[in-house]
Amino acid sequence: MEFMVFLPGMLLAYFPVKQYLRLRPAKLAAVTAPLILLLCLAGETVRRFFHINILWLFFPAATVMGVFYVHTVKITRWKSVSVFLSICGVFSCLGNAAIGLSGETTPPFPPRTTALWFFMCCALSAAAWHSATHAARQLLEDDAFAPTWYVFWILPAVFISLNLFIMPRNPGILEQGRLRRIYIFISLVFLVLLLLSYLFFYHMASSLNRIDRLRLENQFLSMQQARYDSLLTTTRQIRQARHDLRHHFHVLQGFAAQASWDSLAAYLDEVQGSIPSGDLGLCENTAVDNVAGYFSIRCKECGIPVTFALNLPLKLPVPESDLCSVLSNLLENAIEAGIKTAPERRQIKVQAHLHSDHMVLLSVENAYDGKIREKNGVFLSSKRPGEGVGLQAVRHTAEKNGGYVRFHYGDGVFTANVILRSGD
Amino acid sequence: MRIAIVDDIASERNMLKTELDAQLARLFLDAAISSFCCGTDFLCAAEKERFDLVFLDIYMGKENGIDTAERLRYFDPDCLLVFTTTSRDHALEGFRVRALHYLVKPYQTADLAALFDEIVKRFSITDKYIEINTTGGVHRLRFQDILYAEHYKHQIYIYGADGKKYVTRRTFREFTDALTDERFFLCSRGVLVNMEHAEDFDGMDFILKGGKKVPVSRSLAKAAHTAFGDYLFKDFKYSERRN
Repeated sequence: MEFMVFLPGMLLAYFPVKQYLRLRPAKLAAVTAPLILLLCLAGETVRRFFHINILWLFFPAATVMGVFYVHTVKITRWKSVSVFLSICGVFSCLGNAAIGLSGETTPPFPPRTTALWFFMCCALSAAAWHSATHAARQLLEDDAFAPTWYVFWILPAVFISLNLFIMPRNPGILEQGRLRRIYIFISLVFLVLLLLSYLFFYHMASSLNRIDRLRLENQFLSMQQARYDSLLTTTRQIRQARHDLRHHFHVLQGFAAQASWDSLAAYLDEVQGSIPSGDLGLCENTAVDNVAGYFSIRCKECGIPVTFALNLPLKLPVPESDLCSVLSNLLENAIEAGIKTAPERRQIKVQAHLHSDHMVLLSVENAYDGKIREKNGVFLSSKRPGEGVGLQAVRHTAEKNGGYVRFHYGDGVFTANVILRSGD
Repeated sequence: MRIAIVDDIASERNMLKTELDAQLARLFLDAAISSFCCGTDFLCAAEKERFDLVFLDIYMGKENGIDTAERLRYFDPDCLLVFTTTSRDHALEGFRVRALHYLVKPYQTADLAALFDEIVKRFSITDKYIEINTTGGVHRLRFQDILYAEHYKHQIYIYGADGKKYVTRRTFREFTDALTDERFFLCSRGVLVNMEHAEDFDGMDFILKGGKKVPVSRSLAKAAHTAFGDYLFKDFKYSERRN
């Protein structure tokens, strides 16, 4: 009967990952509930017939539930295992508290211990509902701080083993002196400590996130600065050209008055090249324009001809930061490839437009020399093993809301096609 | 094909007309070319009978070609638009009215030739059609006029972009075999959608313009997602602008 605690446990575990379920919620519930019941029945049977301590049965049962959980959600193993273990940790503290409160120390526990534990778990799950659906979900959605997940699971694991360690072994031991009260106190302290450390972890992770976002924003800000400078230069050129125009007319008038048509034609030929060609804007959307402008300068510096056809309005259906980071990642890669390409073949083409007001289509095309390392549709980095970090980030951003990513290559041209889809 | 040239300078109009005649002769195309000296005259004519292709000057005395294009787009979203201009400074506004191309003056014959190659490619896309027998007789339905089709009780119900429903009796297999084009996707057994009319694919349904949902069977959801993305980018290639 003790396995009934899996019910609130699984519920709590699924709260923060609602968007990442592999099955529909109704279907998932229809599978999970019978699975837990089955585990309960199996647990009872095994205990009846083999007289095994129910505690030891918890390990295989929790493993079964854990494996089930990990396979039903679409997040990385590290995250799902961490979520599952952290809930196990909290529930183990509650278990000890329940044992202390009911006073029965060794298995088989009477129904009131089990019931108490179950209700405490339910109460905690209900209390944690808000933080699970908000704070925890936020953490799970962000993947800027993957390394933190590598160590987080240790925390609940340690608490689980501590709780197992302090569990009373002998019947009646809690009735000696003040032991029982101390025992309850310690298990509650463990619970509070564990919850506090979760809180601490949450704050640490969210500030790490914030720093990461700030870094990105800074990057865009410096692009904006570069863009502003180039616009200033263009304005200056135009002002100069306007000034020159008066001068040209003057000279032309002179030639015309003298009727020296040959010199006039020669002068026209000479002047034609002096029309400023600086761009006055690559995109109506200012954020995208900044990024495009910045990379257009970089391309010029690297000697890569680049063309932009960015048909995007001022207001975009997707977050500007998403589109800008995708665009800069793709252009960064394109420039990197362009530098390694023979100068006369270098070329980058960028196109974007909206489809039906809730999708942004973006295509970046670049010429390349050399080899592209691809394995099962995953493009391997030229610098380190594994998929390139840039493309990985692009893939992640695009697929967030059911967008689309596809890379094509051949005949010395690499094309990245990305669709960003608005969430609603 | 009906072509319009809008330019305030007569010599420019005549020069372009000569060039166009040469291109039309090269590609064996039959077309009527009309010339207009201002945007207002052109819009009046276009309202009476639509043009397939228009060459619009951007600076025309007091008028602006971009404004003319915007007004044209109110009643004709399909007309192919080419701006003739001396600079690319208006490229961004051009995107907004979905201009096909910028012909930067002075243009070379080679520029026009490349442009016409693309225009011909465009027209061949809009040219495909299917013939169906309905109770009202034989109908010729252009591919682009089909929204989606359903097979139900040995009949095929074809929903047209004009809001009409065409019913024909033939096997679904025969029907889909006749629609060999990348814009069509088989959503489930007996349902076919034209992705050129799809605004979105939300993981379960194609959402057509006007909000009609065409459901996709669960096993095909992933394929639909990929096909839709691929299709949208194929469309991208056609609208590619040369610089």
